Formats: sequence, C-alpha cells, structure tokens
Amino acid sequence: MTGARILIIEDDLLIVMDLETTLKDLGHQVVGTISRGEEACQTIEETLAEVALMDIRLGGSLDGISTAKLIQSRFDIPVVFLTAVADVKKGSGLTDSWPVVNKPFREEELQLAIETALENHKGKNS
Amino acid sequence: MTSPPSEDSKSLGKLSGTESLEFRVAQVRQLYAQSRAGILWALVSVFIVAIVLTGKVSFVNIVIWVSVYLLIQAYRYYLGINFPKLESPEATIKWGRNFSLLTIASGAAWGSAAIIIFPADSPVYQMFLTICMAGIASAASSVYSPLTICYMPTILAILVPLSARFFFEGQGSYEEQGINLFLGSVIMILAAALVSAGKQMNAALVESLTLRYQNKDLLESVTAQKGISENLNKNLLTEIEERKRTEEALRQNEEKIKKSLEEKESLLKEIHHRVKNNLQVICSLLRLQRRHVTSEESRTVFKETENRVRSMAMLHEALYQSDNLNRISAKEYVHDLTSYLFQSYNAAKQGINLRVEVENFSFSIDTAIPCGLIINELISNALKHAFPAGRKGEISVGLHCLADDCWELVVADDGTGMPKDIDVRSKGSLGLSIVQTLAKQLQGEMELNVLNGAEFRIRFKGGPHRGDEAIA
Repeated sequence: MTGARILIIEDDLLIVMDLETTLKDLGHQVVGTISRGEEACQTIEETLAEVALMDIRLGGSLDGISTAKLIQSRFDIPVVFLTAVADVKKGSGLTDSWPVVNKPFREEELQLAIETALENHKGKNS
Repeated sequence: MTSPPSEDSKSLGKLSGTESLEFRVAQVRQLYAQSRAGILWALVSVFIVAIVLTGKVSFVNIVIWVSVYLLIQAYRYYLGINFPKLESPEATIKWGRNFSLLTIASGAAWGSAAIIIFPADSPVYQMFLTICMAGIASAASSVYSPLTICYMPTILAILVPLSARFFFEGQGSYEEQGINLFLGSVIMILAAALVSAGKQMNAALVESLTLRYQNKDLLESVTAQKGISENLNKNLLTEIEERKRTEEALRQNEEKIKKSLEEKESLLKEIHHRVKNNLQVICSLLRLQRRHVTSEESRTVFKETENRVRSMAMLHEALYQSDNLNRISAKEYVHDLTSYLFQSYNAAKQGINLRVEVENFSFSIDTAIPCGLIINELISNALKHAFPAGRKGEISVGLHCLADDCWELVVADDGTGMPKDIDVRSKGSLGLSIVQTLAKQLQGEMELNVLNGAEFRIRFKGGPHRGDEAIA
C-alpha cells in the first residue's frame, strides 16, 4: 500500500522521535507532531492528515479518548491509539474499528494497526 | 366493742397493714356520709313523738327523755362537724368508734322511750310509739350499716326494750296479754330482720370496698408492669440506636477501606502504566540507536535487547490486567511471550512450529521476570542458531510442577543441537550466560541435554501457585 499522511499526537518527545523515523521507514508521511489534544482539530485541518496516531495520556487538559471523540465528530479519519494502558477503550463508547497498539510497540504491530485502520475506514465509506 | 366483726376481719385478712387501715377509714367515711341526714330526721321524730304523747304520759318524763336525747344529738352533731378536720387514718377510725358509741346511746334513748314515756293506758298511742321506733330502727339499719359495731347494737338498743315492754305488760285481759306477747314477738322478729338487712348492706359495702382495693392492687401491678415495659422499651430503643451507630461506623470504615483499596489499586495500575511507558522510551532509544549502526551484528544486538525489554513490558501488561495486580497467569504470559517472539523472528513463516505446555497456575512478579527472560533468551537463541538455512522443526516450552513446591521449566528444540562441552558462561554466548544467572536467581538448577537438538531443564522451588484462585 502507499504511505498515509499521519498526525502524531504524543507528549513524550523521545517516543515522537522514534515514531517519526519508524513511520518514515514504514513508508508513511508524518504531517505533524503535537503533544496536546486541544491542537488536534486545527492541525488535522491544516495538514489534511489521513490518520491520527495518538497516545491516551496527553500533555493538555484533553485526554486521548476525549480528543478522539472530538476528531470523530468533526473529521472523517481513523484514529490509531498507541498506549501503555491496555484496556483504554473499555466503556469509552469509541468505535471498535480503531486499533490499539500496546507500548512498547514493534514496527510490524504499528504497520498492521495503521493498515487495519485505513482498511476499516475505507470499508466503512465504500 | 373494739374488734371488728367476723365478716369485716375476713375481708381485711386479704389486705396488707396499710391497706387494712385505709379499708377501715373508707368504712368510717361511708358512715359519716350516710349519717349526716340521720341526725336531723331523728330530732324531728323525737319532737313529733314528744308532742303527740304530751298529756298521755308524765310530762316530766317527756322533758327528761327529750333532754337526754338532745344532749346525745348535740354531741353527735359536734362530732359530725369535726369529721372534715381529721388528718390521720387513726383519728378517723377513732371518730368512727366514738360516733358509733353515741349512735348506740341514741338508740338506747329511743329504747328508753318504751319504759319512761310508754302510754300504758292507750293501745293507739302504744302503736304510734311502736311504729315510730320501728321506723327509727329501720332507718338505723340502713344508715349505720357501714359499721357493724354501729348498726347492730343500735337496732337492738331501740327494739329490745320495746319488745320486752310488750312481753312484760302483765295487766289486762288474756286477750290483751296475748296481743302484747304477739307484738313483743313481732318486734323481736323485726329486730332480727333489721339486723339481717344491716348485715347484708354491710357485706355489700365490704365487698365493694374489697373489690376497689383489689382493683387498686391490679391497677398498681399493671402500672408497675407498664413502667417495667416502658423501661425495657427504652433500653431496647437505646440498644437499637447503639447498634445502628455501630453499623454506620462499620459501614463507614468498610467504605474507607474499600476506597483506600481502590486508591491503592489505581496507584498500582498507574505504576505499571508508567513502567510500560518508560520501557517504551527505552525501546524507542534502542531503536533510534539501532538505526544509526551499520553492522548487522550490532543491529541484532539492539534487537535482542529490545526483545528483552519487551518481554518485561509484557509482564507489566499482564500484571496491569490481572485482578490482584500482584500475580499473573503463567499460562497466558508464556503463550503471549512465545507467540510474540515467534512473530518477531518470523519463525512461523520459516516453518518452525511452537508447542507450549504450561499448567494452570499463577506467577508472582519475582518469579515471572526471571522465567520470562529465560524463555526469551532460550527461544531467541534457538530461533537464531538451531534452524539454519531454512531448516524446519519445533520449539517446545513447558512449565510443570514436579512435586510440592518444585517446578521445572523446559525449553527444547529439535534443531542442529549444541556442542556437549559448551560453556554457558563464555563471553561468546551472553544469552546463555543470562539464562544461567537467572536460574541462579530462581535458586534453581540448570541441565542441558544435547541428544536431539537442545533441551534446557531448569528446576526451581517456590514461586508459582497452583489453581485459579491464586490467579484471581
């Protein structure tokens, strides 16, 4: 598959650094990196991101779940969660088609999650 | 007559000393209440008799009779007005005795009329006097009935002299004597009837008073029981209140403990989360570093280290998801770890089979970390070296209980095998050196069999707990 335009939402900058290079190696394009959920919508608008790769615990007042709900309400793009918390989506009301990658992640797991998210999204819209 | 008659004593016998006194006082009060009108009526009767008989009998006798009678009535009247001033029960009883004596004296005065103002020559006036005296006696039997010492002597004092007068009226014809005897007898019968009537009225009063005192006893008993019941109820209510307070305190304590446990659980989860996040940072650093090295050997070293870190992160993941945050299911952990390693090395695609046999028990973190790292090293080692040039085969992992508190971890492959004299502590095999060290940490013994491929057996004590309860 061709690479996707990905927005990274993560407050740990070393992990961001790793993600940027890993995603590039996997053939994707990182269109933006932000650490606060509040900035997500504006950045997606500006960068035309196709996938949001997001941690659950973020620097600002909005956590990953609230940010994802905001994105869900305004944009038609999938979200891939990257988290150390295993059961993040339990009871959150978020769609099951959005994958969760557990930290520490492997490149293969990350790639599989992004592909799954895009395919689910494509299937939903077709 | 100082002692009460038999029927009074019979009733009084059932009462206590204080009650007996009250009982007698009640009788005297009744006598006082009934006799107030008696004095006036007696005076009127005396004057009528005196007026009617004037001229028929000696006037001097009439004056003497009326005078004596008035003196007695004056004293009775004096006693009557003093009655409300009486303060003690003893004084009331004494009053009753004095009043009775005066009443008997009054009756005797009436009886004396049959002797000193008896119209011996006129049967008509004799009849008039007789009827008056019988009326007075009748009134006495009812008015003075509350006290036996009062009514009985009084009736007899009035009627016995009259009866005797007729019996001993000796003059006249046989016919007159017969009539006199008849009248004397009738008067005696009347006296007996009036005594009997008085006795019945006295018995009725005694019974009524007895019932009143018995009711009083009953009422006092009921009141006392009511008081006891109220006290018991009060105590019971206090006890219920106390119990409610204790239950509330217990509930609050329970809530505090529950809250504290929830906080601790939340903190533990937070710790596991942070540990995993830090392990991610370490993995990220290793990966970033890996990208900057050029030799394949160095990259492998970094990759192996990443796997070691990840096997520990998987343990924290398992702990985070376990119910008690302290122990994990060995079966699930070993399955997840070996599957991850197989994926990481693309082993399935290479045609290498994985077989895992782990009994159902739980690990503490102190046992799980060395076991996990041993499995990580031995499987990584087998995948790297045992199946060269596309060789197919199987790697098996087993964790079993041998005896009480004695466990065996077996990691085996059917690959190319290892040299018999391999020194696991040599610099060339860090992985095996790590395995040796971790086996020591578990206070276990390691055995290596190289007959068909390689088989590592590590026996250790303690650590795992059998059964699902331990996992929960």
